[in-house]
Amino acid sequence: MQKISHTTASIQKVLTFAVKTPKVEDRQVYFLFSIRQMEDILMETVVTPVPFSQPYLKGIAQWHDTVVPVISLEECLGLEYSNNRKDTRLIVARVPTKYADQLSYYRIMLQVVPPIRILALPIDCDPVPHEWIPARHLVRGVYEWENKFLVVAHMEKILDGAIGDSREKPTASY
Amino acid sequence: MQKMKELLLFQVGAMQLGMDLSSVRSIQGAPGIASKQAVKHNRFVSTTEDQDVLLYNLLAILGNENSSANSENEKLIVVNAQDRPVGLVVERVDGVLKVGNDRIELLSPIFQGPALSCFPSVLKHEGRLVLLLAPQGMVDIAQQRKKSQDLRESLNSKNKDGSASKLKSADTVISRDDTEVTLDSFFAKYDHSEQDELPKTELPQSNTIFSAKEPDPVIQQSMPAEVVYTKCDEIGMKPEPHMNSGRPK
Repeated sequence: MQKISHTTASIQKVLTFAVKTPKVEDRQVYFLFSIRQMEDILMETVVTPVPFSQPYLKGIAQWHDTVVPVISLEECLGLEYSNNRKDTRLIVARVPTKYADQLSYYRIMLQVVPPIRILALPIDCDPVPHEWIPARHLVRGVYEWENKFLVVAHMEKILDGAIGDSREKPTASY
Repeated sequence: MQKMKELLLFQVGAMQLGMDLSSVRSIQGAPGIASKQAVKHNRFVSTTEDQDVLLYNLLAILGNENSSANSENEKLIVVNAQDRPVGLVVERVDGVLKVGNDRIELLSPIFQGPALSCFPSVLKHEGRLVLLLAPQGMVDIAQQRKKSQDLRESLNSKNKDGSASKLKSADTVISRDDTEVTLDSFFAKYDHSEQDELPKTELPQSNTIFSAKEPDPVIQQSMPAEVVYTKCDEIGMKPEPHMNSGRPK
């Protein structure tokens, strides 16, 4: 794990928003995404739940005539989820995929609560251990920054179905 | 020329769902059918056409068993699954919709498992998303659920008595008068008609909205004229010309 400023020299800006989980070591935790991964931020979108899906999958929503899955990144990473705010937003994130050697994008929506901040790189942060995240394999790295933790999720692994393979599978309650 | 598809839209609790109309054999009015036994047992036997069908209460399977707003509108949709007819109990049938294939999208593979097998595709309709039900997937889930319930009940019974009780059949079919038969013997009826008949409950034939004896193109042709009593205004659908013609007098 290296400093973000070293590994992401070509990225100009990043976007952060709070992780809806209790503080860790008395520090607020934030997710960090490259702004190039983000396509849209939506205020009001109807999310249609899909029965029998895993708890971190909140449903599907329509965006520009496309059906996009909505996920809770906190629950996906196995973090304790605590949110009593109703002013949630949906961020449309894109993840590159390769089909027949052609680059394309897969889209998902993330439920987030404001504020959503945009930061210019480089930022002065250091990598730190992240044993406190249950699904560590779905995380690229955690960084310490201004008395906060920044979590960079491994979106490709999340989309590749790594969740079902590596984490404890839910009991068949259906 | 774009291919069109006819979908049957129906309500289960707070959800509106859809289904490929070509898989529908018949639709019958069944007021109050989702109550009582269904809540407890999830399915039972009824005579709807010329043969018995297994009934699955979608309200209970989808976890909305207490949300039926008006049991008077409850319907029984008989579909083909597992090469046999099965009945799906729904809260209300909304009508038939003819859409282009471009309005239907596959559900994201991120969902995996039972969610994907039960709802493999999604309809984009007037800014809303409607999950399209695959009857076979729903039947598989209901059967697994029943097995789990029976196993739990069996284990509980064993623990309570302190002795091994006889394991209840995982696939018990329960008729409306609470008579229990095993699924094996129930299905055997299809292969050996000389076996004892199961208790049956006739649904009032006058409630039959639509019936097609064979799941063939005839269904597609006869459906719009018979089924379409669509309450278009209730679901915000624009009535298509063929829908109005089918509204019951």
